[in-house]
Amino acid sequence: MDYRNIFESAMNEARETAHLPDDDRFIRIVKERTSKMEKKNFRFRKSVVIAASIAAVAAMTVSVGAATNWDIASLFAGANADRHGIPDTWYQREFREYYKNEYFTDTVVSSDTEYDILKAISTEVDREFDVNGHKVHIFGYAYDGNRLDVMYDVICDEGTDTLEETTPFGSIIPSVPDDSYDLRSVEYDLLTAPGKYIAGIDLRIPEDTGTVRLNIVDSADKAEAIRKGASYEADNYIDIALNRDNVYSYRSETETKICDDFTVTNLSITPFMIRIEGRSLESVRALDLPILAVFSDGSVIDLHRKGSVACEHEFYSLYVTHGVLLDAREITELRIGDTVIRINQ
Amino acid sequence: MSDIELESCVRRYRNTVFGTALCFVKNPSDADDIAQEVFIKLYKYDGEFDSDEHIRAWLIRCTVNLSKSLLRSYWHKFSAPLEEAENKVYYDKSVDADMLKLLNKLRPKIRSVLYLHYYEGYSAAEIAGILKISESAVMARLSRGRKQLRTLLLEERNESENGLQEYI
Repeated sequence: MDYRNIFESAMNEARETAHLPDDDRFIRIVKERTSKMEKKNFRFRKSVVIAASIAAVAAMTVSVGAATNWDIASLFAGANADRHGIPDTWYQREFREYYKNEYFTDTVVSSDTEYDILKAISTEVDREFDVNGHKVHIFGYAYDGNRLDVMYDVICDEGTDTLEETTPFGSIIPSVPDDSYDLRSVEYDLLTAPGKYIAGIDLRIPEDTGTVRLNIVDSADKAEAIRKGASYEADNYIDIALNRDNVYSYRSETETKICDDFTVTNLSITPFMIRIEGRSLESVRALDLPILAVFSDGSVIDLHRKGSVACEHEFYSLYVTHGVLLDAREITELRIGDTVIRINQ
Repeated sequence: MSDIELESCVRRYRNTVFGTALCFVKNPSDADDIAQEVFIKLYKYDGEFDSDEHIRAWLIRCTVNLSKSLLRSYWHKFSAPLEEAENKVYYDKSVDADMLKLLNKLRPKIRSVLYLHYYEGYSAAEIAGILKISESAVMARLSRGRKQLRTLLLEERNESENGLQEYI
């Protein structure tokens, strides 16, 4: 099937039916509209500065409390206590026997190392938001220049087991609005049952932005209105200060066959979570594999699958959390089943 | 950006921008409005581009952002184009818009990935970079899109054949 021809036909049809202006006319329109906008911007520049000042004051009034439910702060202090030596049989013997020779590949794979400085991290956000009757309780966040991970609970409205397929409840807005920033709007797809989750948002925040605001809204329309300058609703946001902590996160593209039916294609490690993306033909068994993080001193931490498994066709994103905040630089290996992925070498 | 550079970019990339926008908003008039917004941003842009490919990718990224914003806007959700209401003002009914209709049955995120890959010639990795999604997600959408398009074409063909038989 020639997909290009299909698009070519559709494009031709669209052009023919819509009577679009020719290129010369189009260029004139662009120039005229730009000129009008520049005049308008000059007139309103002063009021934009005032609005930005108000936003900065509002940011200072946000209250944060100690994390309660997951108690991440105390886990952070005790991270080393959770490490232990690699046992001879580091996962259940029955499990190993069952899969041995049939699925495991016993390979060691090196992965190119790529680190990002973590630009924002907090484990002490303790804020609850009402989203269409559901409660979204946010505990913390970590941002590394590419991705914002937010740790949250979802407590569904009574009588509901799962949320709607798409429940938009987040929108990133810089503290100083400027339409030249290429900021993505953010909508979480919550394909979740009630429980504790870590969700990632892909976004790039300009280097010179000191604070960004994670708005929690219950509809995409509200997010859009706020992005266009509508006032913030009371207590519907969290301010994220980019403080450039000296902690690292790790990203890598890889093509690592874990077993016959599971291949990892992307890995990322932040202090909150490890995200494993891959292709799986028979997902359930492959994703049940035990996962260990191995540190430079030889100790390990068992990773528990507290996060969500998002799948699209045969592709899976597996979020695993470790219950402690980790410095990615210390992790040298990730073991998924019997496959060892070397990270820091 | 200078006037000459803008003109050059419009002539080279307007088609790409229009096509990308059309993947999201369906309506050609909306797609052309978005294309204007995108080139206004380019005209005002102070930064530098490394290459033609950089400009093209920047324009596509910008188009995707603006298209998504339009889709989310209240006005877009609760209004219909005048030409649809009157059914004839801008649309030339003599043109058979079969392929456009067919593609519009796909979800925008699927349609856009298919378009970037098969029409613009981007690889899965490049699309992942432009759309800021993972490569595996791109490949999944490509796979799903191909399957859905095949099914739609098959249905279309069957309907045409049935229609022809009834006519005979």
